[in-house]
Amino acid sequence: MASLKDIRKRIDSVKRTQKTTSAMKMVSAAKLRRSESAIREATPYANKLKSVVSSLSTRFDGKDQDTGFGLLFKNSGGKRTGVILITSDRGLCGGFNSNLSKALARQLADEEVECAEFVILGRKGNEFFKRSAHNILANHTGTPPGEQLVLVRDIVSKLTSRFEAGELDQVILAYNHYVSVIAQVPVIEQLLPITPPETEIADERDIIFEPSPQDILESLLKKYVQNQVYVSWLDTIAGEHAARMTSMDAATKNAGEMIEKLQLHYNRSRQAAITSELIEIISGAESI
Amino acid sequence: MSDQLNLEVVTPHRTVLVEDVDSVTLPGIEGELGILPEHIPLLTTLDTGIMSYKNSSGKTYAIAVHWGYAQVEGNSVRVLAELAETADEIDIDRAKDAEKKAKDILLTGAPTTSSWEEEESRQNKYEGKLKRSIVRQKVAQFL
Repeated sequence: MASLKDIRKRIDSVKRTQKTTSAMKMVSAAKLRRSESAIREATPYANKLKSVVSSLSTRFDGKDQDTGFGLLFKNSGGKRTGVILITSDRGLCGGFNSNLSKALARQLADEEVECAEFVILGRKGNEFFKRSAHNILANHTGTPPGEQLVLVRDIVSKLTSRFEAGELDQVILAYNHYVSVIAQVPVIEQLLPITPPETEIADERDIIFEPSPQDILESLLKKYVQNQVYVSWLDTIAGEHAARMTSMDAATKNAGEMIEKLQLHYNRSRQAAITSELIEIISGAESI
Repeated sequence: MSDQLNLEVVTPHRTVLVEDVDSVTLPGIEGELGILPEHIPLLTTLDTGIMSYKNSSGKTYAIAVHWGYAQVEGNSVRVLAELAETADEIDIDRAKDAEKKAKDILLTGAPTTSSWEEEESRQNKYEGKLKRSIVRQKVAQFL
């Protein structure tokens, strides 16, 4: 049986862990609020961009398949896949990263993609996939918020130009969608070829384009893809903090329960020690 | 409200402006565009430049936009800019400094690399900086 001193030490250590986890929870809550507002700020732009793209894509459906922007819609049906995987840099957030990575690995296996080319944002995704047969092109970690957009632009333009050149048949985006504080859902979606968003046309009149429709659409579509990745990244960041908050909350609670149990155990053993000492003294006194 | 335009200016980071206005002037890539209510549908790329609008009290405001798109559909004008700053957000001293710096580099700077493409992209970068700083100063004067 553990001695009194051992139990006391154990209680102290659990208490210290509890302090850490509850502090982490607090920090995540604050960060979550900030990243939630980042999403809120970015949503109008994303929605507007989407509605512009959707109102235009119907006008060009099926035509001009070989011109610049038509290429981005072209489905060649091959298996050469590029993947953009967005995970967090740090752990201690439950199954947040591993659920996504596992779902992605499963989907790639289902589609019989053996050697996809990965661009990974965040350390955790890299750790998961570095020992797999897939080819990791780049891994970006610790990107400060101000540089995210630039980095995304860079990554996307590299992948789109490879897609246009016919070196890749599809590009997949994998991220965690932030639904609420307790729910984050792994999402795996096809980035390229572009699937035109649902449309309702508000105005049937012909649109004037300045400069030519081709030029405008090509750059607009690229921007659209970039923005999709950027927004997903913000989504993942918010999800990460939410996931960490919930798991740290659970950890704090568990530590509390553990302390209670240990304390009870400690009190009992202390009482038992006193009792046995008393018995010893009394029986010693009696024998005299 | 059919005689007014609903103007929205958004960037990837935030919503800059949502307002009902009388008229809008946009820095289109092929020249300035004046938009009034009942304009024909239009989609254009925007250059770095000054976007101005007049609200119902007749006062004109300016916003510096740096590259983006504008869509006119019905009576709504949506401006999707990479960057947009209103007059009171601009630090005029900083813009002046940036202008001077960019000018110096463009006028006196010797090529830093031997490759043509790199030198060209470097020049483009500073020309862009110069243009932005000039636009910022002009917008700041609207206050």
